[in-house]
Amino acid sequence: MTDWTAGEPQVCFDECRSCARRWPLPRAACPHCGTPDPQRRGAAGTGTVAALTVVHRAPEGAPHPPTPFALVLVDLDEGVRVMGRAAGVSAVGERVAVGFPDGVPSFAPAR
Amino acid sequence: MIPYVTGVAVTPFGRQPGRTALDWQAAAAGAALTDAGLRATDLDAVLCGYATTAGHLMPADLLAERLGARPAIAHGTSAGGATGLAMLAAAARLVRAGEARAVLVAAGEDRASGQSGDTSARTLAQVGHAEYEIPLGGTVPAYYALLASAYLAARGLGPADLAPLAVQMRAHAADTPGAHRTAPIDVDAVLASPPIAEPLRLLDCCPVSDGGAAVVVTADPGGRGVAVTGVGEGHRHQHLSEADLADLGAARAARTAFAQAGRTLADVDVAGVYDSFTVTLAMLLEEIGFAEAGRAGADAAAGRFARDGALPLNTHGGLLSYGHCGVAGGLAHLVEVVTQLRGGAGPRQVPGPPRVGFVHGDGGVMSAHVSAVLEAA
Ligand SMILES: [Zn+2]
Repeated sequence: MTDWTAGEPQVCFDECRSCARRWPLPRAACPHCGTPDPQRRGAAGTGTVAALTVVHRAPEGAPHPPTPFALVLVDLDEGVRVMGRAAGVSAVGERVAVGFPDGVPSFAPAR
Repeated sequence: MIPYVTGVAVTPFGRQPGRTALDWQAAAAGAALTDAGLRATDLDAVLCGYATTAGHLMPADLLAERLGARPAIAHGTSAGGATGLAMLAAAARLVRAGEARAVLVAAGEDRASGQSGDTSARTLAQVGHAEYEIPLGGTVPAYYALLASAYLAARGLGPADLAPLAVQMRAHAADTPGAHRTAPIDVDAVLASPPIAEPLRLLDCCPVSDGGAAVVVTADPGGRGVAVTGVGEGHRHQHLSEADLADLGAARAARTAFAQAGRTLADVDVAGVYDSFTVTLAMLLEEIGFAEAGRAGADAAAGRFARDGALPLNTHGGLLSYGHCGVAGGLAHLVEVVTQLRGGAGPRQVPGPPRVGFVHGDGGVMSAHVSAVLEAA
């Protein structure tokens, strides 16, 4: 299963084939039980904002939109936390859905 | 074999052009050796932290050669902001095991003047995930701002509740020779400073400095050695996306160190805890157990972390105001706690005298944690 890092408009997560625990970043094995080769699964892209920052200073030469821009951590409905950009999000706890306007995940208030 | 810190040194921190990373490392190392009453030829191990401005493949061999040392063991070390205390822990283990009798732990960097601010910010942002985080545009302040957002929301607090930590660090720095930032500030000044990555503002963030720090760890206690009675580490994640905010690894590191030392939190008379941002300090104090959940800022406002408070903390001014030149910034907390335990802090001496000290370093985005317990001879 491929995701936005490979050009697909999709957020993915890992799931252990043994204990069924989930986590966001690709790993070689489950950090809880050690079972190798977790399954990469697709997420629906909806969740709840767990953290929000508006970035005012960012270095030249790095891949960021014009400042100020927002970043969020989102607790996806599948139970994993992912980082993304954000647009129109105002507070922790808000329900959001993902889009890929610049090829990277950007979360906006869910309708 | 109990390891002792028998020599310490920290240079002034600030924007001080004209010296390379190696120059700062050698300056601090030389002063720490003098403090220990040793020559470089007495060293059988040299540990040196990385410098982002140097990027050398083997910084410990480089430093050893400059100093005139020919140690049996020499290792460069990289664990972000936890590097200094990771080297202390490694030095303590070498001495305990009988593998070395005199270990130099050193760091230094021209982080402020040796590169542009943009280069520094891009380099530091590499602690983010190369594929899943860095392309989003985050910076280290942005990652810590996300932590601050989650911290404040979970506890029903606002930015004003973190600001007293910055105010206390500044007050300490005002009395410390060599501190980078010494102008007095109050909570209103923190809240009025420019936003960097909300909810963090400029005065919630440490400055970027040039400087160095070093310690010597030996098997011989010497005249006024401070014993390293416990060390502990925790490494639970690298990237913020994988961080378990309820168990970052700080408490695990501290529990291991306290258990080794046969001590508890309540025994600590003076502490040095990593404070790259106000939220860093709040989260570490609360996870380790020095403050109740959500109370770190309020405790600071009440004077609990002042030199005459219940838990004197970062009495040199911490990263937030003594300054941050990379690995040496995290070592400066250790230098200060050892100085306090020796009773040698002069006008900023903690009354008591303090007997038990605690230090903690954090690298990455609350990723690498190292704690140590230190005891006056
Ligand atoms: Zn598993």
